[in-house]
Amino acid sequence: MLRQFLLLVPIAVAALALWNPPFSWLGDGVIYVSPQGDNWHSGRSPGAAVATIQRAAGMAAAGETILILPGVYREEVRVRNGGTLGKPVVFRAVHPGTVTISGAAPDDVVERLAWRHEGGKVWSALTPWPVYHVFGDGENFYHVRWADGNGDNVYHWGGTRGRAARLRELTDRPKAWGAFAWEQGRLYIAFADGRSPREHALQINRAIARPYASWSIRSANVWVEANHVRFEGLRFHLGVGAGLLLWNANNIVVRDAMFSGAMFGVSNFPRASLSRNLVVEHSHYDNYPQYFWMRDWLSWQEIFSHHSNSTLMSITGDGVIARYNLITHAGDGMQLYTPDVNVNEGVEIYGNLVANGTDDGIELDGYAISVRLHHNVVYNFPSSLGMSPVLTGPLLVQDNLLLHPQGSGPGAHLKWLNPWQGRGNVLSGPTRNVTVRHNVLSGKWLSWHSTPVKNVRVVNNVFADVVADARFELPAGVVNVGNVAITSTQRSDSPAAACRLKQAAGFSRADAYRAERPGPAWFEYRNYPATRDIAGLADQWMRVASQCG
Amino acid sequence: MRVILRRVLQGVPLAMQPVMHWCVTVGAITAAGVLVGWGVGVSLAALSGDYVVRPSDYVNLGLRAGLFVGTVVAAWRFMTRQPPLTVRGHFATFIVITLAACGLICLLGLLALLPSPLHGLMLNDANLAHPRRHFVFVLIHYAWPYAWMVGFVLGVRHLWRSRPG
Repeated sequence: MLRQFLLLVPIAVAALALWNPPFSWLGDGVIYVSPQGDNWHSGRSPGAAVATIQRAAGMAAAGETILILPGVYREEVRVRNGGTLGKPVVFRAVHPGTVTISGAAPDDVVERLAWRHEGGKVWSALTPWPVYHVFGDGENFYHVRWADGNGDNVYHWGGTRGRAARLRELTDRPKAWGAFAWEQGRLYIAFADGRSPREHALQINRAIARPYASWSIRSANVWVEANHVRFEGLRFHLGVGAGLLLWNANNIVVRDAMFSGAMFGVSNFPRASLSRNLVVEHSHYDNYPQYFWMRDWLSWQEIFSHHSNSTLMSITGDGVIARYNLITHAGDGMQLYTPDVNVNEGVEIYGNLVANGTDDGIELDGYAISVRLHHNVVYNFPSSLGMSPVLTGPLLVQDNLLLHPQGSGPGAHLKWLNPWQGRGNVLSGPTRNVTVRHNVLSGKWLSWHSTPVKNVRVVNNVFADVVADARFELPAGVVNVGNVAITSTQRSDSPAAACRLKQAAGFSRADAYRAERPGPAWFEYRNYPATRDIAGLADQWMRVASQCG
Repeated sequence: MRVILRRVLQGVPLAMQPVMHWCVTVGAITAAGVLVGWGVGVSLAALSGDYVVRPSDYVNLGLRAGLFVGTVVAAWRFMTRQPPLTVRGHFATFIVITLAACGLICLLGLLALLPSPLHGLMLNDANLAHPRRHFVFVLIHYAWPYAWMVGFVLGVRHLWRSRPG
């Protein structure tokens, strides 16, 4: 009998190993992670930290906090242990901003690349796997995905040949920034100064599945496959497809995060289920120097066809809140879709600073049920707000500053387009049930429209021009009441000037807006190339926001 | 297994033979589990579309499953004093039951090929996982855990019913 009982002990141990349950009751609700840790450790103290975030994610139970010590973690994390209502699993940097989850290849892989000069600024080397993203001297490189410069179909990858030649052609232009192409197993790269990659800091992605193909995002720093999870103070770098990919995830909070080296900061595109109750706040995304490509070097079409989706978040879901985020050098600052059924909370977007992009500051594609955009500053986007389309609404756009600076390229603030109109698609139909009020729109064109609208009201806004031939027309059928048009009186392309215009028009309200500084709390605008030139803009917005409500 | 055991046990002191016997049984079945896990992981990774499978997850699962099954087999040997070959039949039954359960759930996963309410939600179905590729996701996320559970319960029941005496 004793013998049989003793034999049950190893069986029980092996069963526990198979089951792999969390042992949260053994600890005090905290799991430490450190680059100097060991995955055999318990993680219950900094001295006994585990080595990888993945290991901690596998150990975590509802209500536990994973405290991550400073360092670079080169791993792809799958979060499968979630929390419960009121007891989330929290991934938190011990010192916010000092933890990077990176998808970069190991340094020795890059150091071993044998470079060959291809003429002009272009160098090439055989790589052990396909390269989809390159970081050179801290900048994202323009990715030449196909030889055709037109790129009418954004999602068409074209042939596999000719990319290197196209790279040479593009980088021979004056004021070219860094760019790369990957063709036939070989990475072709051109730095702006034309010197060998060996003389620069270079990062490439590690071996990953093709990150974006036929409407799919297939690579990320972190795949979230659980509910009730929070991420605080982390940097997500070189996820290529996305920083955070929500596969089957609800009740997710992302705070104080920084996203770089990915098409999307946060995405659920595609997904196993709708995402509900997502909060993205005080986070930063950039694809620096995407805006400078357009300013200095490439046409809008050349950028749109290759990098239209560089964005903080591309989300389909309801109960989405995006607030106090800082987005620069993006394609679209944010892309939001809402489904047509089971909408609980809608979408709330406020307090964001979205500056210097190449397409839409905020884009709504679809039904856009119960969406409110307010107290955002959208600065220097070809299109500040894309309604392409808003099929259902209601959409409220209120108390925003939509600004085109003097000297920027062509642009319109309100884009009412439906690319699917007349194609027999379910997306066909007019934009409807939109109210735009108490905003300041300072720029060149107020509106860009080619498809019909219904029940759209544009009331009590200030329109100000920044060029002599500014156009203030709105689509036919729009209720256009109480708007104030100001022409060529004074500069109106800064938050302070825009707020003065709003106050002068009598549209400022006493219920002042409580502004919070956009971006992560730990983030210093002046320390980063992507945000250095808008630090003054942000400071000014913080000074005037409360009077501009 | 019998050949491996004979060779390993040659020259081992008699007192140590049960321990060695135990180690070889557990080790061999764990190694088999790792191999199967690797095969399943690589196959699913090749099949997966939207959802990218990590083979290492399945190697890990195979390791743990192999360790567990190996331990059960070794313990069974010690409890019943039967040679491992006798156990092989039970183990095969266990595997067959698990795979059958997995297959059944795969069939359920095929429902993902049909237009589902999920795919009716969006303006544009392209924003969802492609139905055919979604099948792989359903297989991975739902088939394996449930199949393992069903296989385990039925397997233990089978072993219990066929115990000697």
